[in-house]
Amino acid sequence: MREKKRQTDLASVIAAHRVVVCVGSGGVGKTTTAASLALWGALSGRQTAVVTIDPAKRLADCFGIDPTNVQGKPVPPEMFQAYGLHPTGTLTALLIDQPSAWDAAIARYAPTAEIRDRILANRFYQGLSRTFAGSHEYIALDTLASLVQQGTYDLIVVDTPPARQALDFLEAPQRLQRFLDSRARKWFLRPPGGWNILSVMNKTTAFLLRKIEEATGISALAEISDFFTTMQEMFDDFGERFQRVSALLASEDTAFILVSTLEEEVLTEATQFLTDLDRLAIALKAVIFNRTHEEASLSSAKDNVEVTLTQQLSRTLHPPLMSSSHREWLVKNFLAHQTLAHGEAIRFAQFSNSLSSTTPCVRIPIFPAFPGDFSGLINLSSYLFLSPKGRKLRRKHNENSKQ
Amino acid sequence: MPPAIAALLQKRLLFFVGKGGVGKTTVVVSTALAFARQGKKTLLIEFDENTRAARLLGLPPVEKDCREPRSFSPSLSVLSTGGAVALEEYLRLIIPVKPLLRAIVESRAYQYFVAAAPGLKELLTMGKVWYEERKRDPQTEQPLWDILLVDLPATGHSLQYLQMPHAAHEAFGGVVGYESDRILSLLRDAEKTAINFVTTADELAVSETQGAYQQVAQELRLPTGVLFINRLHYALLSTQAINALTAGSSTSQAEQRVVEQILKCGQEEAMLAEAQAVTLQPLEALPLPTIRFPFSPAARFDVSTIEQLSHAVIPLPVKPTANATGKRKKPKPATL
Repeated sequence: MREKKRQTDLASVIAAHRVVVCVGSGGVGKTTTAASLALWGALSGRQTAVVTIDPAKRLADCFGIDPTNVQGKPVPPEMFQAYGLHPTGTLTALLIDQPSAWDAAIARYAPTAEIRDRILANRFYQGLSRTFAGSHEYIALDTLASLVQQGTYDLIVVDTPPARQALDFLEAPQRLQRFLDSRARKWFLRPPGGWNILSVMNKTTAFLLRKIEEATGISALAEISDFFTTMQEMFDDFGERFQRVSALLASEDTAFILVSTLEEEVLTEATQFLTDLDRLAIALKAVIFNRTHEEASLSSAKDNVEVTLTQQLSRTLHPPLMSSSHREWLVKNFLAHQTLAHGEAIRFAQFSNSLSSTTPCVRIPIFPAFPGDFSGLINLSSYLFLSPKGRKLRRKHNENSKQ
Repeated sequence: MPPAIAALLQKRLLFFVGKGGVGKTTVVVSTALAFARQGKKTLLIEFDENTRAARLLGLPPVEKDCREPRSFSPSLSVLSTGGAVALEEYLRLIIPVKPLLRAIVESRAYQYFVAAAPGLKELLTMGKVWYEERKRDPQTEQPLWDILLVDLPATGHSLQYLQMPHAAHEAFGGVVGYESDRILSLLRDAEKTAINFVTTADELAVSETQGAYQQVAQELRLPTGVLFINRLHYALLSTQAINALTAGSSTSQAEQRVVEQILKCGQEEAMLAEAQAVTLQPLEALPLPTIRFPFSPAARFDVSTIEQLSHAVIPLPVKPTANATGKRKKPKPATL
C-alpha cells in the first residue's frame, strides 16, 4: 500500500539530513513531535539536539532536566533505561527563553562590556527583544547557527515558533539582513550636529523622520538612534552569521517537515504554507498529521443508522445498560466520531494529492491524554516510525505501561 | 442567558486573549453572532492580515485599501486591520498631501521604521480600536456600535497590545503620549472594558492562560471578563463504566465488530473528557466566570458550525430552529 510505503520513509528522511526543521501552525503538537523525532535520532545513534521555545517548560519536565539550565545537558541515560531502551546516541534539549536568549546574544557579540550594558539598558532594545515581529525566529536561528558552528551534534531538530505566516522563520534571515543593511542603519544614526542635519539626507526620509518625531516625541527616535549607534560595531558579525544560517536552511542538509492536524482550519494554513514553500523552491520532506481519527467501516444500512445501532446495543451489550440515554449517547458519540473521521479522510486525500508521491505522510491517531511525559514521547516515536525498530519501541512502551 | 454573558453585554469593548491554536477566532466570532442575535450593533475587530474571522463568516478577502468595517448582517460588522494600516492612516492625519504621503510610505526608510519602532504599531492599532469605540452616528449622535469585540493575536503578542498604551504613556511625549493616555483610560474603565480569555483543556494552553491572567489582572491592572473554554469533550459514561461493557454474544461477527467500535469511541471520548477535567483544574483558582464551548465534530467547519457554537454563548430562547440545513441563516434580532 502506498500509505505504508510513505510511512517507513520518515526514518530515511531523518537519516539523510543533519538539520530537521518542524514547521506548522500553533497548537498542532509541534513541540512534542519535534521532541519525538529527536528521540528517534538518539535511538538511531545520532548525537541529537532539539531546539525549542518551550514557554510552559513542559518538555523540560518530560526530559527530566532543569528548565533554568539553558546550556543543555543530554537526557540522562537512566531516563531511557527506565523504559528498557539503550540509545547509542544522545539527546539534548535546548530550551530557549526568548528575552534572556537575546541578552545572551548581545553579550556574545558586544565588543566591550560598556557597549553591552548600554544596549541592554536601551528601551528600544528592550522593546525589540520582546516585541519585534519575528524575534523568536531570530533567536531560534541564532541558536541553530551556534549549534552548527560548534559541531557537537550531527542531528539538530528545530521546533519553529508557531506562525500563521509560517514563512516568517525562513524569511527571517533576509529580513534581518535588510534591516541591518548599512544604508538603512545610516538613517537612524544620530547625526553629530543633531537632528537638523537630517536635511542632508534623502529629503523625503528627512521629512518623514521629522514628522514622526513631532508625532511621537523625540525620546523614541533618539533611543532608536542610540541603539543603532551602539550596535553599529556588532552588525557585521551578526549579519554574516545569519547569511550562513540562511544558506544552511536552503541546502541539502536541511529537511523541512510540516506538522499539522486534519482540522479544516489548520489544513487551510498548511496549504498556504505549501504554496509559500514552493515559491521559495523548498521541497517539503515529510508531513505529520497529529490527533487524527480513523473511520470505522459500517456494514449495516445507512438509513436510520442511529436507531439501528441503538437497538443493536440494547440487544448485545453485556452487561446490558439500564439507561436508554446511555445507549443513545454511545451511538451519537460514535456517529459524531464517524463524521469527524470521514471529513478528515476527505481532507487527507485532498492534501496528500497536492504533495509529491514520494513525500512521507504519517497519521498519528488521537491519544487521549496526549504525551505529557517521556513514555508519551516514546509512544509517539513508535507511531512516527512504523519500522521494525518502531514496532519494538511500541512493544517496550506497552510492556512498561502495563507494569 | 448565563449571568457572565449578561454582564459582558453591558460593556462596550471586549478583548479576547489566548494561545495560538485554541480557536480564539472561533470563540470571538460565535460570541459576536450571539450578541448580534440579541439585536446589539456589534463590531468585530481582528488584527490580522489573514482575516480569519472574515473568512469564517464567508466574507470575501479584504482588498488592499479596505479600511472600513464590512457588514455581515445588519447587526454585525467586521473590521480587519493591522499595524501597518493603522500607522499609515495615522500618518495621513499628519501629512494630508496625498502624493507626498505615498512617496513616504513607499520609501525604504518608512519600511524600516514600521518594522523597527517598538510598539508603535501596537499602539496605533489600539488607537484605531479607540477611534471605532468613539464613532457616533452623525444624525442621532448615538454610538455607532453597541459593543466591540477585539480578536487579539496569540497571547504573547496580544499582551503587548494591551501593555503598549501603558508603556507609551510612560515613555512618549507629544501626540503619541497624549493618545496613549486616552486609550489607557478607556482600557482601564471597568464599566466599558473587559479582557476575556480563551483556552482549551490543553496543558500548554492552560499554563499560558494562567500567565496571561496574572499579567492582565495583576500587572497591567485591566478589568477582566469571562474565561472561554473551547473544544470540551463530554461523556455521559465514565471510562470505568465503559470498560465494564463488552459486545456480548451477538448474532453476527460484523455486528459484534460494530458494537466494539462504538464502545471504543465511547471509551476514547470518556478518556478525553476525564483527562480534560484534570488539565483544567488549575484554572478553577482564577476568579473568572466560565463559558464552555463543546468540541465540534463537524465534518466541515463553516458559518453554520459557528452559528451552532454561538448557542453555547447565549442559548436559543425557545426551541432550536428546525434542523440545520447547512445553509447560512442570517442572524435575526431576538424577539425579547
